[in-house]
Amino acid sequence: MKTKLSFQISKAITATRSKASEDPLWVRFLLITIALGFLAAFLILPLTIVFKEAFQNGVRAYLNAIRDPAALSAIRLTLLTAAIAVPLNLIFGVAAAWAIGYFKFSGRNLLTTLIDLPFTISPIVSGLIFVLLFGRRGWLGPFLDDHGIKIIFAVPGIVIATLFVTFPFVARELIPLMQTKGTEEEEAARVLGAGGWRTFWKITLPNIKWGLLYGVTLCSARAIGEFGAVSVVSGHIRGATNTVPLHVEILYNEYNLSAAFAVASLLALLAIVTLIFKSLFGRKISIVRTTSSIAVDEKGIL
Amino acid sequence: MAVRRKLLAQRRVLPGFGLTLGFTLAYLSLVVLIPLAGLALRAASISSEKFWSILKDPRVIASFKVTFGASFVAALINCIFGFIVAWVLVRYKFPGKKIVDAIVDLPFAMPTAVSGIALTALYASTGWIGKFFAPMGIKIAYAWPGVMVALTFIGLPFVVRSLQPALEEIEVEVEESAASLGAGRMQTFRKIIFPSLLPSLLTGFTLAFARALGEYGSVVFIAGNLPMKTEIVPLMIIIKLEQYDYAGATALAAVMLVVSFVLLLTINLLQAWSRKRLSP
Amino acid sequence: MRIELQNISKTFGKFQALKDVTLTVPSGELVALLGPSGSGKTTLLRIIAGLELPDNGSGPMMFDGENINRCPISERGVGFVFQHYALFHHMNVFENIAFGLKVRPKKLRPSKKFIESKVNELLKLIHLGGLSNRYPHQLSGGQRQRVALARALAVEPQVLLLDEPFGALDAKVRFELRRWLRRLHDEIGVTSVFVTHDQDEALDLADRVSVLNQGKIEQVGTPYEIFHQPKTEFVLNFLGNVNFFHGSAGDGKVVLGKINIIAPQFNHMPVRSAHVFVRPHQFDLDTAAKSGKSMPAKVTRIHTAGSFVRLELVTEENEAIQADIMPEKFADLAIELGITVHVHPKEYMVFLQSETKLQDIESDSKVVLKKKRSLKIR
Repeated sequence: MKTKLSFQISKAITATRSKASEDPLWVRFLLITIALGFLAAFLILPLTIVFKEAFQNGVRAYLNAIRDPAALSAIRLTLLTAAIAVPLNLIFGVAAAWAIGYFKFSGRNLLTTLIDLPFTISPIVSGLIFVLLFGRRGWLGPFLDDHGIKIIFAVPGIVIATLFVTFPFVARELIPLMQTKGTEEEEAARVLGAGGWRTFWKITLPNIKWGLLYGVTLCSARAIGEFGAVSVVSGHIRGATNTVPLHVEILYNEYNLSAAFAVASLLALLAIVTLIFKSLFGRKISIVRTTSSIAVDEKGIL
Repeated sequence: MAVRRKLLAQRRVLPGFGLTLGFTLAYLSLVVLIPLAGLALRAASISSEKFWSILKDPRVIASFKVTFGASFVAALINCIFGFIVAWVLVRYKFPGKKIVDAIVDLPFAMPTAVSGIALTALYASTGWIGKFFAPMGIKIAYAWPGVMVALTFIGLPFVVRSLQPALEEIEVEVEESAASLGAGRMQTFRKIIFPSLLPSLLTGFTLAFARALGEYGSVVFIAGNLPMKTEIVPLMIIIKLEQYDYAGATALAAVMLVVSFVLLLTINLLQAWSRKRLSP
Repeated sequence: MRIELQNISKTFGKFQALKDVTLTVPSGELVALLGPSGSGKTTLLRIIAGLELPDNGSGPMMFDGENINRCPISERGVGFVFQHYALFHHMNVFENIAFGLKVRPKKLRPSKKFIESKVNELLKLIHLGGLSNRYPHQLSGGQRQRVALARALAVEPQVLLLDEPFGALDAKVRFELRRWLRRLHDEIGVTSVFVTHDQDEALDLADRVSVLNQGKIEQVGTPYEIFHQPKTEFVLNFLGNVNFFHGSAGDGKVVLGKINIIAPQFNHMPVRSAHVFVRPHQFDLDTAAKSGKSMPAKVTRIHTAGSFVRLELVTEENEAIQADIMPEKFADLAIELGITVHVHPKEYMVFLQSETKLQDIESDSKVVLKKKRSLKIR
């Protein structure tokens, strides 16, 4: 029986680790220094240098780089790609999470593993897959040629490749979330007479909205930032099939460093926003996946 | 407090099973399975002679060595430092901890091309870090160490995020118990704390390793791409594609896929193992 | 081994968990620290163990006369059993129990053979002989708790400390383990202190009970003493059920409601307001009134399942009373729901409420002066 008082007490007590489980001060100091030093060298410096190089030639050069027509067209293409890929994967993610999270059926584990596949495959391989399918010498190559449809080395290819690589992101967030959350509320709604869609909109959605939002954020960030897979399928045609990351590459290879970093800084900003979002709303998302796969078994998920 | 693993609803009560499962399977097949099958079939159509001759090519072998070697070392480095970072984040209090915690995810959130050029700028002989090593004759960017640095960068969050939940799960009482039984801090760490973290550490290592194997964007700038020296397998695939050597590209991709699957399986097994260990 | 604590205080941030506590645990006794949540009992236990340090300015803590304030936990020779067992998940039963022996510094470390025989001896003691290879997650709650106990005993501690050892277990298992712990203690004889909020457990198990409330010790005594001779209202209220009345005492009598009881111990005292307490079994019931000695009450609920009959009653002033009577009496009086009976306290306890300083009062019953200025007279 927890009274308010006892709760306050246990909070106060556990706020200070007991003597027996505390590391000596010098150990703490040393470890913190090492940890922070490592992170500074490996994470903070790279981030800083992006902005430093971006503004190397001044603010005007920075803005010019961003407003350059090629850059703008790259931005447009990138946004277009994301605008197609993300909603599709969102719908998929919700559907998959509903099926896997709320129902029990044989092959559930297998299905979850399969959904996770794009996450574990190298982006280059991801791109290659579609070249093999739609490329000139691919399976559907001749067919597409005959009909004058260009997928590889054209926008559709980029969209499809992006769709593939960002496929699991929303599902990965939602599946564990919905499993842990359980179906009680939805069942209660059903018992009270609500229809399927009603239940979904009014009961499920509000409960999973933070996980959903985070999944969408990750999905979009990946869609915008994807490099390897898109690199393979795009053909690097400036002004036509360049996404922002590819444009960065081109500028860099042309030794136009400050412009490359300028455009890159946009992507870096996006990354920072994603991180801020996560840290602000991390608590509201009960389980956040950035790493482990989402294989599921009787006991639930890790 | 045990999270209630609510038992799943019977299909009768909650609607939409058929619809959602059907859609899921269809979409999955369309976007993932069929394209993958295409690759598999293409790979299968290569005669085994040709397959081996592709793999035996010295340049290809060199690229495998670079990729696997650097990924392994990078994952190892991440295990050591990632462990320290996770430990510090979970157990200690210090100013700015929340920001540090958020930053750990940076490699995960940052587009690989951006990481790639940033790391190159940093570790080139004129870069902020590179210039300390240049006088000693150590080249980081455009050499093998550069590849390793990039792979360490992208693998870090995996180790830290795998360890954090496991660290948080360790009950204070267990350490107190060990102390009351006479164990010193180091003994407690070696015998009690570390063993319980081992599964998660291995999971993190494998995840970082798997991610590093397939990594392209972060590496391809800093590597310098010197044939036989700093070419990575993903780059080899692209090179073969550009030469219209579809068979070559497919063969390499197939090998990478098989390795991915094996690692994925390993990860699942490791996670099952750690779940079994930790559950009271 | 005798434990002595003097003037121990402990603060956590703004919250004072222990306020100047002094306690002695005689060697070989099984002592309970009993109290509600937040009373400081667990904190006190942890301080004895060395898991927490008392505030600066606290008095000494002594094991057999030796000051151990500066002694770290690993050197105090205490065995600690946690409420949630704190078993080492990745080790099996054998390794868990052997742990304390294995981490001894090389010079003091016993041989493998010795460890093995010691562990097996303990396994027999806790009746888990064949389970040495099992892992904690394969054991039931009761089994885990026994392993935790064996693990603590393996290092032959001078003091055994248990923090709500049975709190996480089912009622039946709890009861069995209680019996078993008592027998174990009788066999081994090590000084033991356990924390509980369950008064049945404390009264059942302990040689001596120390009742804590809000960081202070209310009373220390044998189970009989604290139940039948409570020194403060808190102890009285905390242990068992009790009916509470606002009344008055003085002028040779105790008054509650319509009841006037002749109380010679108050002969020469002015009338003051008092808290009068009557335990359910101290009420006598009758269908007929005894004028001035009983009060009417209506029967609102009857519980007959049990060794006595429990009646819930409501007085004319709308106060709820509980009375426990023997089944024979219940049958004799033919009590039914809704009827009015007349209750009369055979025994009672009085705590005077007074604003002024009290004087010592001589009487044939024990009188204790408390700082809170409430006087208890029997």
